[in-house]
Parts: sequence; structure tokens; C-alpha cells
Amino acid sequence: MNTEKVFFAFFIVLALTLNFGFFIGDVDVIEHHNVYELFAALVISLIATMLKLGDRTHMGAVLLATSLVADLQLICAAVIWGFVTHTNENGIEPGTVASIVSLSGGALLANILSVILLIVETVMVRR
Amino acid sequence: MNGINYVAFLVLRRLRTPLILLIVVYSTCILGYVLIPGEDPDGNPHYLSFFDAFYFVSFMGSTIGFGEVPYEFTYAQRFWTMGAMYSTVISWLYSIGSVFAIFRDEAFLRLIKRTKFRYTVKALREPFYLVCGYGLTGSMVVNRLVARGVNCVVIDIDQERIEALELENLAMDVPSLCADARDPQSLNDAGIEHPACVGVLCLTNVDHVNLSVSIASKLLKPKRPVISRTETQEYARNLESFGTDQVMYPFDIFAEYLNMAIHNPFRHLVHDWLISPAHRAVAAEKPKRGTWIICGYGRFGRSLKAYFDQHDDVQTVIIEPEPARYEELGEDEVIISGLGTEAETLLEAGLKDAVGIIAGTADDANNLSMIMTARDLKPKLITVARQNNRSNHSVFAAAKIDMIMDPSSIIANHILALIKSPQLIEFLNEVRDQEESLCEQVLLQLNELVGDAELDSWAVTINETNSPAIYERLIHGEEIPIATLYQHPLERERPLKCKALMVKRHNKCILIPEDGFNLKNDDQILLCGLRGSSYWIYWTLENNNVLSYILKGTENAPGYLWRKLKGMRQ
Repeated sequence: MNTEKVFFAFFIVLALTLNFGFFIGDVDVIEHHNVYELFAALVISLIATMLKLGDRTHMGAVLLATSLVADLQLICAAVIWGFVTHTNENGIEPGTVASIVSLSGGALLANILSVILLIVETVMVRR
Repeated sequence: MNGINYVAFLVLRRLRTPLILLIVVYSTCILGYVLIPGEDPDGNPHYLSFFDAFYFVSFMGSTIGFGEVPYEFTYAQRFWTMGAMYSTVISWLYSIGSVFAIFRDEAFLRLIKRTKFRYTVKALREPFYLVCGYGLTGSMVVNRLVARGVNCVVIDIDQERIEALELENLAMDVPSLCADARDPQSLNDAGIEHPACVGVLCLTNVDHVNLSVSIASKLLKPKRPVISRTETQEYARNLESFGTDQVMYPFDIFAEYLNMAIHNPFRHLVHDWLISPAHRAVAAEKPKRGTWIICGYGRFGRSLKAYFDQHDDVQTVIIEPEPARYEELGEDEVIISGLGTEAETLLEAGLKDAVGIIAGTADDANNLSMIMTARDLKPKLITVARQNNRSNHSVFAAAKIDMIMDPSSIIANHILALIKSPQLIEFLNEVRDQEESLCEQVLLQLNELVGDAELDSWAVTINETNSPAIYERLIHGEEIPIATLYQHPLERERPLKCKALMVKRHNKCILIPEDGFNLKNDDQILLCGLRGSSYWIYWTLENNNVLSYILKGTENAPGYLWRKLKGMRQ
């Protein structure tokens, strides 16, 4: 058993589940989307990315790329959320919520890809 | 493995832990601020948003500290801030520390050096020699090659020697790598497959390493010359078996040289003069034929005996303490068992009737002791000593020994002669079959040419690229005697200090051509003389006007129009 693999699998799956939890619900209703869940998803996704730094295999490189995509999308979502809450007089509006959630939806897709790649890699190693 | 990428991966891999630590610490702090209730100035409960928390932690963590925003903190928040301050500062210190640790890491620095080396070698455009082993021989060869303006790349397994090379202050940049030359990757990095690598010199003190480098080079580029030194006869034969161009077996080289000094003193002097230019062995006016005492019957002793046995006028007496070494010798040989450092043994070997003594053991102190003892017993003796350790140079020089056999300088001189011009070695081989009178004649000429100055030798080829001026005239059927080359391009009455030793034409060698010898295209000429003369000769070879001046005493009209006008006037 490779401890590094266990860690990575844990974080990548956790990033996916958190992301999914945040994403699910009506796309423009703020009450359906928890800010803590977004925070957790972002932090876990960042950690998962760091775990892939310096991996010289081809699979490692692709996983690094997908998790970087997820990070980027989640950071965008968080920045929009923070910026709008503090600058907009009316607070957060349904349109903004929709864009935040759709961005996290994109991140979700990237996370799903990561997990699929992880599964492929696991299946290929017949040990 | 791709060097730069590898370095980048290594750095990233080392950065994993610090980066993850930073993320975890930051996110914990942020989460804490978001969850801990604060108060606005009116006393209403107020929660920091994620943005506020991130903003605060960012400037706190970097110890900038803009104060408590957006409202003054409650005590609960301040408690959390205390913990947050220390943990962020510590995690930053740790992260920065590990970045610096990477740059101070031996493995990392080695990697950077290796990568730099590889790129320097790759970028070489001029022809270079790959030198494996920077010991005594290697350093001598590299020094002299660099002095002649030849590029070298050096590999050595010992870091100290590589550092010595860096401190050497050579006139040219010599890329060097500390690595095992047996490792194909290292050889590759050092440019064994580089198109500009014109030769491989295997000069390590381990025969097996020399062998493996020679094989690698011959397999990759069969036509490229490989010169290898070796310490044993078995390896010498092994190296020759797969076509190593020159195998340097110093014991054999010196034995031949000594043999030549005894039987063909003039040839010996010519050889000596051409191979080691600065050094001048004065022909000792001592009788050399007779009985020689060889102390030590190892590799050196064996080589000597083999050469001495070719002649009837030289007898040998061997002094050797180990019976196993001389078992193979015949019954009629004179062998004394002993070390040869005591007067008793030497007298038993017949020192009083001997002409010379050769101290040829592998121990420098013993060798010196033998020479001193023997000289005390018979002052007129010719002394030959083997010097194993270079650092003993001054002691050997002080002992005023007639001939010192120093393997590293023998090899270095030979290699340099080979690199200077392969024709030189050919000339020396040709001379071997000639009469002594020819050598005497050569010697007189050399003496007349350079006197006490350093003798240099170089080769020129008569063809379109190397000597266009002469080539063109020869094509038009003109006759150009070889003496043309000896004339000074500025004043043709003044002779240059140089002379042709050999002309090679269609694989036939013409030794010491007469002044009237007519040149032909594709001749290879080996010249010797003062170093300065070689530059002048290139004028004659390449510049048509200079050549015309030398031949006729007048310069050609350079331009087409001027030539026409001149023709009309005549």
C-alpha cells in the first residue's frame, strides 16, 4: 500500500463530494448553497493539487491539471461571492448565485474527471 | 532524463509539505474567524465574512498588521488571533526555510552543476577532446592542449581533482564533470556522441575504466580516434583487439626509448627532441653497451628485458626479491634474489663490471636508494630510475639521475605528439628502420634551426582548402619546390626557421626531402622548427600574391583591370 496514494485518493474524493454537496440545489437560491461547504471544497481541492506537485508520471501530470482547473473555478466562485457581498448594496442577487453555482459546477466536472482518472489508474495497476 | 525538468520536479516535490502546511494553517485560521462571533460598535453580534477573514489573515500572517477590521475584536477573537499569529509565522518560516534548504542541498546543487555541464558541452561548436581522468597525466595533457588552443571536456570521479581543475586558471574554459566515466549517461553528457568530439583520451588510473570508455567510444563512432593508457599488458592487448587507435603502455614505451638510447643514440635524440620539445637529453658520452642491472622484474623489468634481448651486445642481470616473478625465465639468465638496495646484493650482481643500473621497482624510496648505493660503489655508472609518484619529482631531479622514467609525462608527451600531427608518429616509426647516419643528419639540421629554443612540429596538406595558392599553381602545371615554404613572406631572402621532415605522398613517406623536391597536390608535409614560423607558412600557402612574390620576387597585380593594364604595357 502506498501511503501517498491513500492520501491523494482521500483528498480528491473529498474535494469531489464537498463540491457536489455545494453544487446541488436550485441554481439561483442562495439558501441551497452553503458558504462553508464552498470554503471546505476550495481548501481540500488546493491540498489535493499540492499533493500532485512534482509527480513525474503522465497520470500525475494530468491529475495536476484537472485539479488546477477545479481550484481555478472554485477560487473564481469564492472571489465573486466575496466581492459581491461586500460591494453590492442589495447584497447577493439570484443572478450572482447562479454564476457562483455554475462555476462550482465546472469545478465539479473537473473533480469528476480527476476521480475517473484515479479509478483508471487504480484498475490498471493489477497488484 | 531531462535535466531542467528533473530539477523543477525535485523542487516541487520538496515544496509539497510546506505548501500544504500553509494551506491548512491559513484555512483553519480563516474558518476560526468566520465562526467566532464579534461585535459591531453598537454591540450587535457580527460575524466576519470569508472575505474579511481572508483579508485579516493575509496581512496578519505576513506580519504587516493593519489592525483589527472591520470592527474592533472581541476577546474571543483576540484569543484566536494569538494562536493564528504564531502558527502562520512559524509555517512561513518553515516554508521559507525549506526553500533555502533545497538550494543548499548537495544533491540539488550536483544536479544543477550536471545540467549546466551538459548544456555547456552541447553548446560547444569547435572540435574538442573528451579526457577521462584528470590525474597527473590528464592534467598535463589538458594543460598543454589548452595552451595550443584545443578545447577539452574532462570527466573525473574525484571531486578534489575537478576542483583542482577549476583552480588551475586555464586560458580556456574546460567543462568538467565529477562522475564515473563508466556510466554511459555521464559519457553522454560529456559529449561522447557530440559531432564536434574529435577524440577520446582515456587516462584514468584504472585500466578497466579506460577499457569501458574505449569500447563505448568505438561502438558509438568507430572512426573517431581513441587513445588509452594502460598499466598492464593484458589490458593493452585487450584494447588493441577492438581497434583502439593508440594504446599507451608506458613501460613498453620507455623500454623502447631506453633501448634506442643504447643502440641508436642519434635516433634517440631525434625522437626525444621531437616528442618532448622543451626537454633536451644530452647524449651522455658514456659507453652504453655491456651489462645492465635491472632491479625489479615486474611489468617494467619485463618490457626492458624483452627489448634488451633483441641485441647480443647487451647482457642483463636481474635483481628481484620474489621468486614467483622470475620463474618463467630460462636457466641461463643471471638472477640475483634480493631487493638491490644493499651494496652486497649489487656487488653480487656484478656492479663493478656493469655499465648501467635500472631501478625499476614500484617503490620510489627503494629506487632512489638503489641509485645512490650503486653510484657510491661505481661513480661512472649510467643510472636510470623509475619515478612512480609525481610528487617525488624534486627528489629525483636532485639525485642527478641520467634518465628518469616518469609514466605520466611519457604518456602526456606521446599523446600530445599524436594530437599535434599524426604524421609525427609516422615519421618516428619510419625513422626506426633507417640508418643512424640519417638521424645524425636530422639532428644537425634541427640544431641549426632552433638551437636552444623550443622545437615545434606541425603538418600541412597541399589541397584546395588548406593551401589554395599552391594548389592553383600546381593545377596549372607549375613546379613549386618545397624550399618555397622555407622563405619568409615579407623578405624572401630571409629563411624561415623551419624544415620539412617528411612528405607523405600516396601512402609513401619521403624522409628529409631535398630543397629542390617538387610539391604535388595532396602531399602531406610534416614540418618542424620554431613555433612562430608556422604562422608565416600559412601566408605562403593561402595568399597568391605572397606566393608569387616568393617565387618571382614581384607581386601579382591584384585586380583584373590592373592585370590587363600591366599586360598592355609589357
